[in-house]
Amino acid sequence: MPRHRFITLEEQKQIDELLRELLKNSDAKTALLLDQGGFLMSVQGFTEHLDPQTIAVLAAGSFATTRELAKLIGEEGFTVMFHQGRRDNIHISAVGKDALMVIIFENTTTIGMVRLFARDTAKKLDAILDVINNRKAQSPMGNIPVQQ
Amino acid sequence: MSTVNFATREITCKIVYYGPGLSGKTTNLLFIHKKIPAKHRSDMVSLATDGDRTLFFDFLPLVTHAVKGFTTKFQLYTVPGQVFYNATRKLVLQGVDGIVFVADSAWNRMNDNHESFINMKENLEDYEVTLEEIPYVLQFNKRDLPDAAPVDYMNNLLNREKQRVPGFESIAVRGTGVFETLNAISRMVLVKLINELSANKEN
Repeated sequence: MPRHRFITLEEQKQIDELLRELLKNSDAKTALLLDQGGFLMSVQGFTEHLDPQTIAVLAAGSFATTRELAKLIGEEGFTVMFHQGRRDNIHISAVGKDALMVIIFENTTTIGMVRLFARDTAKKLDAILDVINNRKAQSPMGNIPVQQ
Repeated sequence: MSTVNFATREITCKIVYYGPGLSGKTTNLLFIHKKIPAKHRSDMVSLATDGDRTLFFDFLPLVTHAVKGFTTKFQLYTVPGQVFYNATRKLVLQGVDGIVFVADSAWNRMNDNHESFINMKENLEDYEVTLEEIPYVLQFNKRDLPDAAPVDYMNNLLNREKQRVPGFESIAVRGTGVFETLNAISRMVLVKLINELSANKEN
């Protein structure tokens, strides 16, 4: 894992587009892509009254906890977490080794639909993240002065 | 792991406040949260027990413009200090870019400070990170205690790595030394990031 990660404009566009496509196909409300440390890479869909950064951090923490729980029962890790609410539900799934996708959806769609399209999207996202995570650190920034 | 996003022009870095239980890690974050204008921060998240002891972590995101042309986001985390929460402490350290080690100045907490410091090194090693590679500072908190240990003694106890690091005296409940510590670590993290980026560019 490199010390720094660079996301280009093109990669960000592709990630955003994949999440938007997922929302359209699954009829879910909001989708987030984050790394397992809680760093938010994209949020698409309905975000009014939502704090995506906090959702990302708590989802990552929650997922990390389940990973430890999995180890305690002899599993390597769980790949999906699902929280059911009265109206809104949260589906959290692993994207490759280092990332997570959080999908918030109402009861107007089903967990099956969300899971189906989440799996497909995760594969495509993983391919993009693989490029990002294996990129050798190169600075297109030059010497940047740190301001006081 | 810091992230540089050229689409959103954002740099994100993770800073973790480490130290023994009740040394004042959460108090540091609470003071920062209170003093920083709302436009530069989001709400603070605390996963605490009923007794206000940190159970998992506290989280406070800050936004600055420390790097020209980029919005710089610092994500401040604390770890649970109590010894038996090591699994969660280790999880929070994942991908850390800078550390503030908050030590308790009370004489009877010196063992706890030392043990926590060793524990931090061990947990970092599990992520294949050493203290030589990661920017960190010490904060000697609770300097107002009548039985506060001398700073020289605490430096001798905790500042023994090859490279000595800055140490800050603080009284976090009153805010004394809190921002001095935060400014120092955030600057160290950014300078390291920029140096590494510049070095990579030259290669």
